[in-house]
Amino acid sequence: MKLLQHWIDSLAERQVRRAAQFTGRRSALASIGKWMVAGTALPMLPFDRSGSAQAASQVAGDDPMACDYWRNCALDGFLCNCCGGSMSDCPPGAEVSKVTWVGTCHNPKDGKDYLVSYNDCCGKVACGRCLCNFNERERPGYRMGVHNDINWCMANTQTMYHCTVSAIVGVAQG
Amino acid sequence: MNRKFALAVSISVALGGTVTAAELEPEISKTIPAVTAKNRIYAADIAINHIADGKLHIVDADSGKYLGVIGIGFTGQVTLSNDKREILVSTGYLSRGQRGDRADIVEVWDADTLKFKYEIPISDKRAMALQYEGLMRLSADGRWLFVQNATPATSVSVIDMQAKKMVGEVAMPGCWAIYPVQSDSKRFASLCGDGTIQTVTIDDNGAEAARKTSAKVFDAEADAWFMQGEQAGDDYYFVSFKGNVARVNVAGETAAVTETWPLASKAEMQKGWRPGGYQPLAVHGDSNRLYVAMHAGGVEGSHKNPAKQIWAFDTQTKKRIARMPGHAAISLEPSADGKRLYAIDIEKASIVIFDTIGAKPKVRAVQVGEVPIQLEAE
Repeated sequence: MKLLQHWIDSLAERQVRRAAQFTGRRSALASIGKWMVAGTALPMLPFDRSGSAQAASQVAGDDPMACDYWRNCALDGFLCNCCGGSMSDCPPGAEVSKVTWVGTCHNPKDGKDYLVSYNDCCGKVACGRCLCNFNERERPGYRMGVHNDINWCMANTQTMYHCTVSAIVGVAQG
Repeated sequence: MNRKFALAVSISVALGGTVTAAELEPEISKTIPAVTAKNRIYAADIAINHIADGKLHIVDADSGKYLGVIGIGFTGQVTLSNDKREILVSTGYLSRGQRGDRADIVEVWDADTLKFKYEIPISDKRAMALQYEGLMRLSADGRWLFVQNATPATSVSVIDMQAKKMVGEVAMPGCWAIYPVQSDSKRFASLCGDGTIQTVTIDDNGAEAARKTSAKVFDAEADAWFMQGEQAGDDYYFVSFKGNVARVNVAGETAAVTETWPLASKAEMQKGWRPGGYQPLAVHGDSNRLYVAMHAGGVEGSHKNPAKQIWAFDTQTKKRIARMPGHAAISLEPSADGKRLYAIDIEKASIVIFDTIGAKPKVRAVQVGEVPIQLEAE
């Protein structure tokens, strides 16, 4: 709890709790004890090997298959909708991570900020497609709940990292 | 002389060759016994596209020759022994590659023969993280190895390298990374999310004996510190997302900031010049040099962007002495003698060797692997 109080306001906290329940991580959270973390993706780099030089630092796009899609504001990993899954669902055969991180991303279409849960999908070999990396409000591991240079499959029985989804949790207020 | 040979001779003569060229001798393959290069660069590669199979690339800083590679497994962390003769890897393997039972270990490799020596089983709480040097560190006397854990609750595994055994676990809730104290091998510091620094002292058995928390020294919301700490004796240099340097003394029971200074002028700050990358800072204590990977147009979320320039400073005068080409650097490391600077160019997946420091440095590049992240030097 200590950590959460540092990185998110009370309303957001309630929403994160709800996110945790939606994604069935209650048992994992119980075992984590004082932790109340939401998790996310693995690492990667803010650059584009396709040749368009350095990627933008912030997202604003409306193409769900593109790295700069607005929901990906702090996503670091392979887009699951490039890997046989969807924006919010894991590809067949992969497990949803039990812990995730909730980012806060601005939807340019309705002008609202949304809490986004970046679940990793786990238990299969790295997808290897559509590697993206954005880091708005991302922080080092001393703010673990907003850290994305770590494998958020860490609390699953099967820990191999496959890809990352970005599921809407709710509107961020305050 | 048969007809075929006559033809060969005539062609050879026509091409200006000689008829008496010696035949190649038969060869017997053997193993090159050891790496002998004096100045080695180590680059840890997350190999994200096949992440179970990370690598440590080894390059000769003098010749630029690729010397060899060691597998570091799934999110393996790397550190060198204090005498640089051993490579320590903390990593994990799944019994069926992508699935199956997990086994976490510390592996010890010979840094010259590049042969595996032995392994020590460790807790499977080990943080499965990108390579950062603060996630596995040896004590100054080499006795204790500290390995960062995350489940995601955070703790540190304590391994006794004399007994070759994991002996303890220190809970570090809300804190991350390990900064050993040079003058006290049983003490390390760690950065915490509330902006404090915790200092932990272990006893002879590797169990927690004391813990102190500093005052709040940084703001993780407004101007977070990168987790990289560049060691100079009992001091560590940190840099913040917005470009403020902090020097922290970790020797005592409680860590203390001893000086802070900004990297950029007000005009440069307005243009958004900020540090960025994964190992964006390099400090060479003996020569009082500090290097930072910098990008312009920095905003919230740009803290991992590659460098547009590398800025060099004198840590005594706090003055900038050079703005060097950026080479898309995300990680920096000084050479042992401080005369060279090494960088990872992430766009080219290359190690860049700056043979001279200045606005127009003499530079060489060596392509290595896929996604090199962490740099170490002998």
